[in-house]
Amino acid sequence: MNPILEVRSLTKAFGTSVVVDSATLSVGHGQILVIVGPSGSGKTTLLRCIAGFERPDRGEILIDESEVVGPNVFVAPESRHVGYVPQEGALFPHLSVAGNVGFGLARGQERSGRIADCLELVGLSGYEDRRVNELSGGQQQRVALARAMAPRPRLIVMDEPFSSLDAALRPEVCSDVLSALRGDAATAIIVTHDRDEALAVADVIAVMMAGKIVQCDDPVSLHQSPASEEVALFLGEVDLTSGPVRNGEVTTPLGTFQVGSDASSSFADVIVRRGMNRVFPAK
Amino acid sequence: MKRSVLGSLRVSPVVVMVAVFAATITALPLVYLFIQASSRGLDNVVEEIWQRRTLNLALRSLGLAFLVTLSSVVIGVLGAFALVRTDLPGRRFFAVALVLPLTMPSYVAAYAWISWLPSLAGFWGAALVITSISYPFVLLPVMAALRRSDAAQEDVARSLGMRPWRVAVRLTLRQIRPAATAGALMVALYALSDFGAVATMRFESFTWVIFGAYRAGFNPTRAAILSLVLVALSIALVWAELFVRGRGGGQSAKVGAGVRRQPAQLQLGAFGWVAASFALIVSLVAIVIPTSLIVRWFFDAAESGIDWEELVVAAAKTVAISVVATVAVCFLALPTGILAARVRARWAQSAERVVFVVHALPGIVVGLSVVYVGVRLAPSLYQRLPMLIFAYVVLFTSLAVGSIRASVEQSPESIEDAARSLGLTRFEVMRRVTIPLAWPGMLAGAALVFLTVMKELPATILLRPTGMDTLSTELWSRTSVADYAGAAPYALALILVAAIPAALLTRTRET
Repeated sequence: MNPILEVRSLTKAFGTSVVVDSATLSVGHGQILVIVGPSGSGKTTLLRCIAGFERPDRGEILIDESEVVGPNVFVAPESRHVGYVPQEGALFPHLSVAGNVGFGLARGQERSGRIADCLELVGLSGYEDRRVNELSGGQQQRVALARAMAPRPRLIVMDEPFSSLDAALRPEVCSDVLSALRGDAATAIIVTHDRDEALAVADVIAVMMAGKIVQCDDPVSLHQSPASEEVALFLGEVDLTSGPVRNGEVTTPLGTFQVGSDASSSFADVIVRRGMNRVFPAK
Repeated sequence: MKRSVLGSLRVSPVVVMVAVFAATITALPLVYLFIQASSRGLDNVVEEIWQRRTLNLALRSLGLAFLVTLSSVVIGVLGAFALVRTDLPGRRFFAVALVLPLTMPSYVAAYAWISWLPSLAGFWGAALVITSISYPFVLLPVMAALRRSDAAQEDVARSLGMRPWRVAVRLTLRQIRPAATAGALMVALYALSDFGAVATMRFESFTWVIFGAYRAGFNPTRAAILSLVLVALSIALVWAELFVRGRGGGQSAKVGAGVRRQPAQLQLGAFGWVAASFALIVSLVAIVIPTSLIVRWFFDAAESGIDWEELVVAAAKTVAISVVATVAVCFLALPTGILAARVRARWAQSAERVVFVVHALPGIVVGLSVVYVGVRLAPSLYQRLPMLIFAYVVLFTSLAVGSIRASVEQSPESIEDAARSLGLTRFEVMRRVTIPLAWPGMLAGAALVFLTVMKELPATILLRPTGMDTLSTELWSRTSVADYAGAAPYALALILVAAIPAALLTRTRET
């Protein structure tokens, strides 16, 4: 199946600092892609390029096979059909819940039906007439998602959607959001710096570091075969040890391990996590 | 599609175009002021400036501005501190009484005083009147700064062994310094630019001499040259304030979340009555005495008969002109304010700055410049309503821009991003999200403009269409021939009409 979104060698710099460095990505129909990385790695900028709020310096973006960013092409955010859920939800404080969810819908018979459907998907049926400042943080975040889903965008992008919530509330809202997205068969990109969140919700995870996408894989492969030491360190609690390499084997205090095909150096770092180990050539 | 600057902006190209237009037309009169000033050659300009009388004039005006600013800062800072941070007796009353003089036009207060004590005429009378109506420019921002400041800092200072009064002097004064200097700048600019009070008090400061050179001396070139000197003084003041504020800091660096807490009130004890008498004297001088004098003159006038029809017509014309001017000002200020709040590029910020620099220009200077523009560009419009409205637009757009910018900045940009991702164009986002959210602040800005237009005197005198008498010009023509009883009904009407937008302003500030 053709991907909904394709990002090809996208580069964006602010002044002299390159924030997104030839990033390449693709997301399939109904998939949930999570972009994860430490803060300052360029995740939000990449997301804003996709939504159309930033103009990349180089590279291409295709949504549903039509080019929205390319040489001499820049489609305005309002014409991209990309739903956007900003960090704090950014609900319109002067409108009711229904006014918020229906904001992107044309006036017509289907409007109130779609509002009700979307509110049901996020578990807020019957909240239509509430004022948004009466809602809790988690409820606001779910209204923001319903608002983005309502016009049936080709893609929904969410910027750190759970970071402003209480730690105790996060898993619950997170699973509500996930089931709402699945219930609407929506394609989504979620940006987060929280690796547990990423591992929990993603079909595909893109790990971003210093502006580059260093690995893009499903959670299991990512967990089992991280592409580099940095990725492994970022993705989980690990122990780090090292030792000399002899005859394709590295000897460490934890035992002796097989070194992969890339074993050209004489010393190796070994990363140990429960259920797996990986050996990287020493720096 | 070509890459263009406009395409990737956050705001609609329409907004940019109107904002650039607003900056251009507000700067236009200044250009014509230069042309008029140099119409007899640059030698003449230098000769006019390097005269003993010009130097004396500058010294007199600066002396007035200095004294007024100094006393306004003392009254404003002490008053704000007493109102916000102490248990001053009668605080609720003084919170209203000390702000009220803001609505008093300078020439009304000056007329009241000089009708009672003719010997006040001159420097001291002008200083008294201008101080009594302009200290709220310091009082209000300092009160706001005191309410905003974080009590935790003061608690820490106490816990480090500082006594309450030393905390007030060492820490609190530093916290309010940016607000106080900004307020002092407004007062100083106002003292330099005021026309009504110095004219009524017959004090020969710049504005009065410029008016004389133009009206009585029929010397437009000298008027223009003196205007340029006054403009230079005003701009120098703006620069000086930027310099002071730039080094001041004064912002509290807040780490982490947590709610600001109001600091404890300082118990004044027996000193409370000293403070209360100080506040009482200020409100007597600034509002009670002038108002009661006008009321007394009003009864004198009522005995000899008041031409009510003329009064009502003047009031109606004043309101009508002010409404038209307010609408025109807001139409131009809205895009400039939104642009300044949402686009941080240097060119967008300078569009706002042009408008603000022009705001530092005195009404008499703008009035004269608009006369020159009219004479050269559109002679048929001279002394017609459009020229007067144009002068108001030049003078007061910055007032509205300030409040529009502040109210737009209160809502995060991500709200507008969300609206665009839902399929709205930038123009629709402005109409359906930005403006509705900023509406209260915009109304406050409009009320402020309305109030200020109504009080405006010098530009109105210079540019009003023949036969078009407003409350302020009627008052002016009567006080200038010492018909104090005849002026009273117009003064009272002006105070009453001005009370409406003023009440609106205080309500929006509270909610």
